[in-house]
Order: sequence, then C-alpha cells, then structure tokens
Amino acid sequence: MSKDVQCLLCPHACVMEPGQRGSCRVRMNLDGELVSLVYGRPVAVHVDPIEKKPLYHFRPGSLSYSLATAGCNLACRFCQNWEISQSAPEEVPPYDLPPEAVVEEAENAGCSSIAYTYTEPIVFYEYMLDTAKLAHERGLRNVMITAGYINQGPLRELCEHMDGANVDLKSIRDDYYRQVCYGKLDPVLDALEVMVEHGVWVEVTNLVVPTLNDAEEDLRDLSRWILDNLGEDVPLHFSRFFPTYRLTNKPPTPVSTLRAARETALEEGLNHVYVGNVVTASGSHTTCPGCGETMIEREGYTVVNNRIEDGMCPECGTEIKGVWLDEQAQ
Amino acid sequence: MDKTIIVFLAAIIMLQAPGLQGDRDDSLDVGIPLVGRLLRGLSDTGSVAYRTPSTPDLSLIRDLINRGILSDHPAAWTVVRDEDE
Repeated sequence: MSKDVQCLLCPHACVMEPGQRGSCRVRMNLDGELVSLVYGRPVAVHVDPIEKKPLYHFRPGSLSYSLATAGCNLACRFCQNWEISQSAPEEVPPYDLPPEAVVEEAENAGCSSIAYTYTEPIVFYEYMLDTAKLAHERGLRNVMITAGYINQGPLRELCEHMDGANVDLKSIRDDYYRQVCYGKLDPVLDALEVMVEHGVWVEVTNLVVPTLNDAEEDLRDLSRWILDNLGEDVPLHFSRFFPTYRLTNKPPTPVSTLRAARETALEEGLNHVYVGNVVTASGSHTTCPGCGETMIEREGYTVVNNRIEDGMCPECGTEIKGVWLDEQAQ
Repeated sequence: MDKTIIVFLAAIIMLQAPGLQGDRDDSLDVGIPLVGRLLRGLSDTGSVAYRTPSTPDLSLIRDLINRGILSDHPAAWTVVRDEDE
C-alpha cells in the first residue's frame, strides 16, 4: 500500500498522501515516492545580462543562461512572474532540456554562468543541483535568484555548487511574510547567513511596495540586519514595485521613495546600495567605498565603463568586494 | 428564524462549499481577521498558501509523464511517513 511522504526541502514541510502535491505544485507523491514533476522541463529559457538578475558585483557585463520551471513555494501577492510561478507544470508548455543540454547551450551562447531564476529555483532543486554540478565541471559559474525559503540541509548541499545568489528579502517583518507572501521570515534570514558562511557571493533585493513595507523604520531595520549579519559589502537593491497579480490596488513605487530608501541604507553603513526596476542614473553605478569615485557605470542592464583593476579601486586602492571577470580580479 | 441569521448561515455554507474554499484566488486580503481566514478554509498562521489539492486523476498525470510534459524524477530530501504518525 502506498504511503504518505513528507517533503523536507522547504519550511512548509508538506505531507502528501498518494496523488497529492506540495504547496509548490511541482513535487508530488506518486505511488508512495516523492517525485519532481519539472526535472529537465523548464518553461522559460533566455540569455540575459547578469545585471538583469540583478547581480551587480558578479562578473559584470557577462551573459547568464537563465532558466526556470513552473512553480514556487511562496505565493507573493505582488509576484512579477506569476503566470509561471503560480501555475502547475502541466499548465505551461515546457521545453525538454536536460542538464547536459543546458550546459551545452550556455556554452554555445557565450555565457559565463547559468542562472536559476524567474520563478523559485528551490522548487526545481534536483534539476538545479545536477545542472550546477555539470556546469562547474565545464568551467561555468552558477547563480540563483531566490526567495531563500529553504531548509538548511538542502541549502548547504546546494551551496557547494553555487557561486552567487540574489536573495529576495521581502521585508524584515515576519507578519509581512505571513500575510503577503505566505511564508515566514526566519528561514530566509537563516538561509542568507548560511550562504555567506559557505562563501556564496550574495546580493539582496527588497521590492519596495507602497504602504506595505516602505516605512523608513522597516527599511532601516532591514539595512541594519544586513550590515550586522552579512556585512557592509553585501549589495542591496531596492526594486520598484509595479501593480500586478493580486496586488493591483497599489501604485508603482515612487522613485522618490526608492531614493530615500537608498539614502537610509547608506546612512546605516552599507557600502553598495542600488535602485532597480527604474531607469535612473542615480543608484545604478558602483562607487568606491573608500574615495567615492565611480567604478562601474551602467545604463540599464549595460555596463558602459568598468574601472575596477585587480579587484580594487585604481584611485585609492580600496578593495571592491565581488566576483570579477578574470581581467578585473586580483 | 431571523432573516439576517439565515443569510449569514447561507454565506458560511457557500464559503465552505467545494470549489470555493482553499483557493488562493482573490480570497485573502492583507490583515484579514482570523475568523475570516478560518471561514475561508485557510491556515490560521497564513504560512501555507493553500490546502494541498485533492487527489487528482493519476491516469492523467501518468499520461503527461509518458508524453514528456511532466517528469517523474525522484525527489531528494523526503521521508516516508509511518501509518501511526
């Protein structure tokens, strides 16, 4: 007789009777065995500039082979990719792309990394892990863009094969996670610390939603938590919200709010704070924390000038933390 | 019976009818009171997005696997639950 199974991948810890799926929609109890319904079945595949992730301190100007399957283990009301993240895998036509093909196509496209992104890569854990192992064997880097809602065991295993991550820290308030995202805050904070501990290059994104998480006190607390627990050199991206999915009753984030958030985070002591999802020169360049000179100049997702030499500012010699291309690295 | 009570009970029955509860569609507002959450069949903690779907037609799932739409790759990080748990 088939048995119930429990998934230990993420904090939801879904218990599934035969035939049932977890809350991610893509992990299923099939005859008493937990299976992934999306292994090798991505629904979105693109070649993107790494800046689009956003990762601003990870091989700037390089291309990243980016893919996603259907599914997510959160259900953020503001999800920007809800058409695929909040769908069951049979509702979105997939590609047949096993890990070997992903790596081969990434090489053919001139990419220096593979990005597991768009939806929530944690839900296609096995596919990501196998692809990442293969990519490393072929000299490609791996990055994931994630909400970080994962248990520590699987995360530590994954970190062995992950070079960079942009983690969406949606708020520093637990009630926000519970009411807007259907998750909890603590596992995300734990995941961030585990990634940094394992040497994964981490950048943090915070989507600023008017009236829900844009209070100065919240943004200050979030910045201070990053400073105290991850370090002053972890880049923080304040991203602009646009009304979509189930949060259409809020206006787009005013650019002035994003600028104020950036100022707050800089005041708290973070060295690299950016403004994203908006066309503005202010808040998109990388500056030297030592002398304030512009190190990397960006227009949209394009790097138009990169002055970093040997991982340092050529003006004052201050180290600029990041994962640089070979010609910029120490 | 008072008409207001009848309307109230009818509303509760409708909310609990199959196909209406446990669906994420437009059912949850930020700050919705606990009673409202429970009436809508949602978790009282808000940490679970929706109830696990009921058992589907497995022949359809197998057909989708055979056609390559879905995979049946073994998943990691799982335990089988004993019947007495």
